[in-house]
Amino acid sequence: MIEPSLVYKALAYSSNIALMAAGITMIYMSTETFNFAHASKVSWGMYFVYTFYNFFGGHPYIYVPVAAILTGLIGVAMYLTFNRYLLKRGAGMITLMMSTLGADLILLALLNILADYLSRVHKLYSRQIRMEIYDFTVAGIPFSTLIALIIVVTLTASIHLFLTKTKFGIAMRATIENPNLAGILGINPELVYLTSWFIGGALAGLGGALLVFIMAGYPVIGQYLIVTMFAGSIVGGLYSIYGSLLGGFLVGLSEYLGIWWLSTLFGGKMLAYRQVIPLVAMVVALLFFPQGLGGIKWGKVAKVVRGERS
Amino acid sequence: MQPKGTVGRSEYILETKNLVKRFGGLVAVNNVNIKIKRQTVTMLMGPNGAGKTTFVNTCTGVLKPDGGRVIFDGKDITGWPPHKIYASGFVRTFQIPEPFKSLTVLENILVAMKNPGESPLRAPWKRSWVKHEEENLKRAFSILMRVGLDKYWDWEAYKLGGGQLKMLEVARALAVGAKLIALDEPIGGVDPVYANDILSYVRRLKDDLKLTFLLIEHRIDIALPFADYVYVMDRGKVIAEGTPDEVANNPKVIEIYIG
Amino acid sequence: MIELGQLYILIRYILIDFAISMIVTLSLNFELGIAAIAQFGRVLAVEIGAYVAGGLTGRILAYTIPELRQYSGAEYSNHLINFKLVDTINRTLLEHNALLSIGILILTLALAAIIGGIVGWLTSYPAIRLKEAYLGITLLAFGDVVMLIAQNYDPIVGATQGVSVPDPFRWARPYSFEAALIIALILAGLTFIFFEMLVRSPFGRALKAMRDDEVAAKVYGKDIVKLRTYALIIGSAFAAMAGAYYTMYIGSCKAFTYTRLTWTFWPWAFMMLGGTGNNVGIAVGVLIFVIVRTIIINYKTYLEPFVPFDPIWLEPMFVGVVIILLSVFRPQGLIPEKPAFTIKKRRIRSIIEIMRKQAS
Repeated sequence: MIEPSLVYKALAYSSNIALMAAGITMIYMSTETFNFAHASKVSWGMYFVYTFYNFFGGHPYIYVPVAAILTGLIGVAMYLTFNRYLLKRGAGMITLMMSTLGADLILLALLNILADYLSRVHKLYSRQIRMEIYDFTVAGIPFSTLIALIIVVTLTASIHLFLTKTKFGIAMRATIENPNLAGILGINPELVYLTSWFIGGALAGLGGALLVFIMAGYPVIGQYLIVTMFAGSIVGGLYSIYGSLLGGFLVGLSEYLGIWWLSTLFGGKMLAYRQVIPLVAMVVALLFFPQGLGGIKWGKVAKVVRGERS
Repeated sequence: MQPKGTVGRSEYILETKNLVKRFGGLVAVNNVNIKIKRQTVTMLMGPNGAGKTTFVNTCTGVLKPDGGRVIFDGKDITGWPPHKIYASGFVRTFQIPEPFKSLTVLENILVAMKNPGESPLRAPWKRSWVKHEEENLKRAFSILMRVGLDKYWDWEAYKLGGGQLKMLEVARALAVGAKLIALDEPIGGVDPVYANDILSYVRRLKDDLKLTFLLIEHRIDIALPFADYVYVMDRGKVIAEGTPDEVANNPKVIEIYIG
Repeated sequence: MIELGQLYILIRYILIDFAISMIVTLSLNFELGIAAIAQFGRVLAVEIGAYVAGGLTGRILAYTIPELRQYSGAEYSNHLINFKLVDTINRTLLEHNALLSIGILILTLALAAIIGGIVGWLTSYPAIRLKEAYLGITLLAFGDVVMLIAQNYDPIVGATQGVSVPDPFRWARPYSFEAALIIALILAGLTFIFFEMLVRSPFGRALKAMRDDEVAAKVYGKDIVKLRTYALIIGSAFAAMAGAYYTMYIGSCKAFTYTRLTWTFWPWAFMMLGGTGNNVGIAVGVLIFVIVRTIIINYKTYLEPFVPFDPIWLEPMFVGVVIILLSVFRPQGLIPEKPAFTIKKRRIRSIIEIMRKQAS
């Protein structure tokens, strides 16, 4: 039988992956930029919580929103320093992607410098951070699980409200769908891009900051998780925030529970292959369902299932 | 024995039978039947949006047809990929020039010609293809001289102006050594005197090299005298055909051009 | 003041790093710069080559020695016996036999090229179906999966423990390093010449035509599927050779050495700096990066007392900054691509002069 604690962890992990995947999709939808720097932003999210807690005390959970805002600002900085110019020049997808890789290397280097600084000057064990002990339970459910699920649900609802009910949200949708139209409507597309870089970055940091309560963090953890995040975003179809939330959740869940299942069947050795699951999910999605979950014609599937001819 | 798909040699080099191409609800090419006689200049005329370019795209494999057949030189080429259609001797130009931007003008022509050095196994052995390449070079350069681009032979294509790119399109198609060349608005935006010059060169090539041309034009004035036979398309359908004189006096044609 | 001996060692490292990175980057440039394939999985072919050198050559050699034959199967890569096996191979077969050593080196490179080529051919399945970033991420995933498996499945190259690699340079002792260096430079030179020949052939021109305008290339007779596949096979074969050579030169093969950072993203940065599509530019880009990298690695101890962190992190920072600056200010790189003619320009001139005279 599967342990309840494992299920809770799986739910928390998948929710956080969903947040990160939504961040990737957000930035990709508005600027066509596959953001490799998402990796380091997730790690930074973890380290923000860790560092602030060690310096200022209190409960580590209170630094989660701070971490999200700061990584959001990193996103804004990326947009303003280079992404903006590349978009203006009409640079191709590959150049856009490569430039974020450059940013990822810088963020990775800076994070390692921070980790070195914390360990050398402040004698903290910063190469591997463990904060699971600060998690607590609410009505028997770990707070890390509860808050992650609540955030995913609220986010889904609020993104819906934001994009359909607020003026700026509608403008944002218009800009993403047709940048020229936005100009005609008197919307500044740059503000829209800026906002999506902020939200996208914040989602990465938020996911990372929450993840630190269920697993050990280290400076390159983002580079390991990026594959799962991309997988979630791609399985979600890359052009839908809801799709990416769902895709990220499913990929995270299948990774967590899938490897648990495989290890009960074939032994603990299987745990090492954990990453293969999201990788396979991603490649299968790209090659066979390039439109992702959103692109599958569910009506047709239902017909086929019911045995009718399409 | 005839190879598979062979229909037999006829006096027509290209024949379409009820060719259909749809884009969603729009029928861009609607049951088009066109026959092109060997060694003629056949013109396909019609206003913008008549479906002329879509017709060429569907014939040359750039688009897959939704219905009907394309018979080229006795072979059913319906739905073939473009490179196979090229290999069987049918090339086309693009209305909006699509040059290979980073290649020089000369290479834009050379790349369109067949060369054994395109095989990766032979590519490193220059000796196996250089003779062929020099022959190609001579042919390519004479065409460049003909269309007046020889001065620019070592310029990258992206440096050329609009009219020059149009000529590069034509030159590239002429160099292939194809049996049928579809020229999609080759003289659009080119000055009339030059346009006349180019079209008479096309006619001469037709006779000298026994080529067949499909000339696509939306204007009625300049090109018409150079054609042997004319089809007129409007809104996806062939509405008239005949000799240039017949077509020019056809009330339906006059109507679409006025209306 | 640097001592002469130190300087010599430094230059040796720079040159061998240059030679191997050069082969990898040239292969990447051929696929991306010339054929426009978003090769974000360069590491895949490199690691395959490394596993050939680490896992296959040694097994073949162990099989030829009767008393080792029983270990040439899965247990070859068991780290408890592997180092003894390889040591025996080195001492009995390779140490005193320069000819055999060179033969083994060539055999390993050939096997790596063939298997790398097959891997390249396999990757053409997504490469034909996907575009740009989508393809890039798929290839990246392939590279990661293979590394993950090799890192955890003992019978390939001993998983995390790694394996020792038969040393084909031992006969040259005490000049093994020099031998490895000279051969590496020769290989890099040959690779450069080979790719230059390809770029200056009708084949290379067809690839560039495909890169510039795929639809026009199709209409003018280029079989896109075949061209992409050829480019992937050739590029991957060379990348695999580089991986195999690197493994033989460092003498051990550990799966985690072959990360996407070192073998995909670094070559990308070299290529972007030098000039995408231009082999000469690639050489310049690789050289600059390799010099900077070696300097950082070698002189970090001098900087160490002054900063509260490991100066090694300055390297990714430097690469990151260079990548961003290049993509914003100089996407064409230091030495932009120039037209490459199939026939010497002078020869073309003389042919067209004759034609012009005839015409007038």
